Amino acid sequence: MWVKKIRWIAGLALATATIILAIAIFSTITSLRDGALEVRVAKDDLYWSIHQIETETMNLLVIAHTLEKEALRPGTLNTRYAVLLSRTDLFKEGEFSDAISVLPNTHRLINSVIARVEALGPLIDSAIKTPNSVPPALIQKLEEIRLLSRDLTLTAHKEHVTHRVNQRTELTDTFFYTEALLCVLAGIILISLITLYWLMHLARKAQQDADFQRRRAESNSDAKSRFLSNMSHELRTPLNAIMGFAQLIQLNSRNLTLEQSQYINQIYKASEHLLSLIIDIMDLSKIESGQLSIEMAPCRIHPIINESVAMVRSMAQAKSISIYKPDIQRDYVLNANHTRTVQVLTNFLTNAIKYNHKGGWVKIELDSTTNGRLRIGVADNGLGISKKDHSKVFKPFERLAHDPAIEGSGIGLAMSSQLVQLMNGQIGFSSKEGQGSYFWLELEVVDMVAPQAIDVMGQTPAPKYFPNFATPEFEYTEGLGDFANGFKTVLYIEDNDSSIKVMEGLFDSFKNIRLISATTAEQGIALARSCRPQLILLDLNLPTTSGLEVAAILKNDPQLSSIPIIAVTANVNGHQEATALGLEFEEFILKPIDITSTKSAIVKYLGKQPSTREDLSVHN
Amino acid sequence: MKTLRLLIAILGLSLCFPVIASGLRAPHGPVVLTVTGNISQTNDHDEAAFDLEMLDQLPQHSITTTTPWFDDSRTFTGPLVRDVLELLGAKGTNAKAVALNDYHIDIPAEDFQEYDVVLATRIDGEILTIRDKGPIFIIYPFDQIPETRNEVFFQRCIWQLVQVIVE
Repeated sequence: MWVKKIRWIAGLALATATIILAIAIFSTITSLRDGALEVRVAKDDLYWSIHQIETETMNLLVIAHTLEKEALRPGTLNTRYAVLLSRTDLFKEGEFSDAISVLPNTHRLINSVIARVEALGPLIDSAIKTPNSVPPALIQKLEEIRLLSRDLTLTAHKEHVTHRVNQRTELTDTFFYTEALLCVLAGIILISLITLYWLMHLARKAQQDADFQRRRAESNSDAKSRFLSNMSHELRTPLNAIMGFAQLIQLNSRNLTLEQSQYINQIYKASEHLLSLIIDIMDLSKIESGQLSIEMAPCRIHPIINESVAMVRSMAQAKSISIYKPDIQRDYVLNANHTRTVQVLTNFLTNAIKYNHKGGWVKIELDSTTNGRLRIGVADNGLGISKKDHSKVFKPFERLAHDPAIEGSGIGLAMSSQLVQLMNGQIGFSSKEGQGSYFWLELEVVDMVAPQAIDVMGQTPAPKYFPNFATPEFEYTEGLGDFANGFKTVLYIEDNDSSIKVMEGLFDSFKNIRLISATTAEQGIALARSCRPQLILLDLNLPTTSGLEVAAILKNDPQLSSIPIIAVTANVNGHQEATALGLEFEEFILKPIDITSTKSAIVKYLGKQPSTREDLSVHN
Repeated sequence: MKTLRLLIAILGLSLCFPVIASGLRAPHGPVVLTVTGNISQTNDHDEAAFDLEMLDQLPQHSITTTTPWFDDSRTFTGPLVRDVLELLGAKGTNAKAVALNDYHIDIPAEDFQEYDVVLATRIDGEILTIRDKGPIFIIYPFDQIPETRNEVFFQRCIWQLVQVIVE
């Protein structure tokens, strides 16, 4: 701040000094120019004109002397006297008077000469009247004037020279000061230029630094995004094996002990938690790098609440916590993203349950605000948050000081905060340690409608959590009745061994579907051509030739293009990448796969397709 | 070139006005100006002598201007040098002007064609005496033509003029 102020003052002082100096130099040069260019006759003729007084006095004296002896016309005396008078008159006005006024002794003397010359009048008249007897006084006076004129000439000469020397000295001083001023001005300009150059250099350097930092940040950000994307893929692939086999064991093994079944369930739950962590970290990373875009659409609050409550129901039941939903008379339509709003609300509910006592309660409250928003609040009577931790609540990876046994990554609320902001909403909370918390989010309301009948009935979507122990919910062998007339062939192109194993396990429950698998793209394409499967399951991350390229080849082959392809991938961006290439898959299944929904998808597409040629021939 | 033009003009005028050319009368009063040299009209042997009356009979021209010799602006009146030289059928490139005290200066003839140079016989309507730098004072129009306002032209403004020699 101070440095900036000083820099400003110095700059201002420098500029002022430059202007003052420039004006001083300009005016000095102007006055010098005026002096040099001044037209002054008297300057050159002064000396000559003074000398002429002496000459004319001399002429008059000669005439006066010779008047008696020679027969000169008396008018001649008068004429010469007039000439002398015209000479002395010259110094009474005009430039000669000005010129003589600066030479004090000359000025005094010339006045004396003028007075004496003008006083000669009567004597001249007398001489003209009696040319034979020139008054001796005239001769005497003229002689005095002649001597005085000589004195005047010498004095004028001396004073004129002195005056010129003085003028020259003054001029020399003026030139010296002007030169000095010019030097100072040049110095100031030089300093200004150096400063300017320096500032430009600093600015350029700062710009370069900023560019470097930006490039490094960009490259860091890119590297981070790539790393996270790879990590996500690499983590999802083993999770596919863990979760897939856990599901298969649970679904297919009817002779498990209760204990074994519980273990399997724990494996599945832990894996699912791990998966949700991976998803959250990816999302947070995307938000931070500005890559996450959220599609806003009108969505109802009632289904959001129901979905969220369904997500946490089993968790609440496990801790004997009651969840109270608001009494909804009218359904609010929000301008938001349904899935993300469910995510935020679920996060609030999960926290309210996690950080609660056994037998506690959680209440969902709705409150329309004055500025056209709806506040969705989640209140609990749980542990609460101590005041010192309030500032950390929405910061990522800040887990508050609670029982370490409570699992959590610490990014849930940070995510929620970012998501609500992306939906142009607001988020907040109030809490007291030991008494409970109240977390809320506010979103824009676009309409209010009557609640949908299905919601009033309280029907909840299918539970996400692993189904209850031992008994599989669906028996797909029965579901295949529609196309039990012949064998169906499904081709699975997948390089990961464990993924193939999981899929094989899944297909074990299909009595009349044959699964053939290929571990490379080339093998897969060859098998597709030779076996003509009714369905192809395709992994997108294949070595050498990518799954997307395989899909393009299959879709462009006229004999294979009608075969439906389901992408089974650990790449969360697979769908966007495919769309970018103009490829359309019948279905996208993200690893780790959910056995039941994958089965449904397979059944759905097999049902649509006719059997292979051999089967058809048999059938016919 | 200018000289040639001057000569043609003078010759032409001389032919057109033979009465003037041949009718230069002798001066009646005191002679104030004598013109000698390369002139065709004379009235006293090879000289042309003018009294004040003869000069007054020529077209009069006034110049009001400031000068180095007087404090204020003054009005100088008299015939143009050009007219006098034409009257006398003068041929030459230079006019040598001589003053009472034998001071003399050369004035190029083209000055008289280019500028209205006056042979002033009067200052502010008063006849110029010798003391007033008379009888004749050559004056250039300094204020009217700034290019003449310098030492060269000031020097040509001879006063107490008594003789002009056309060369």
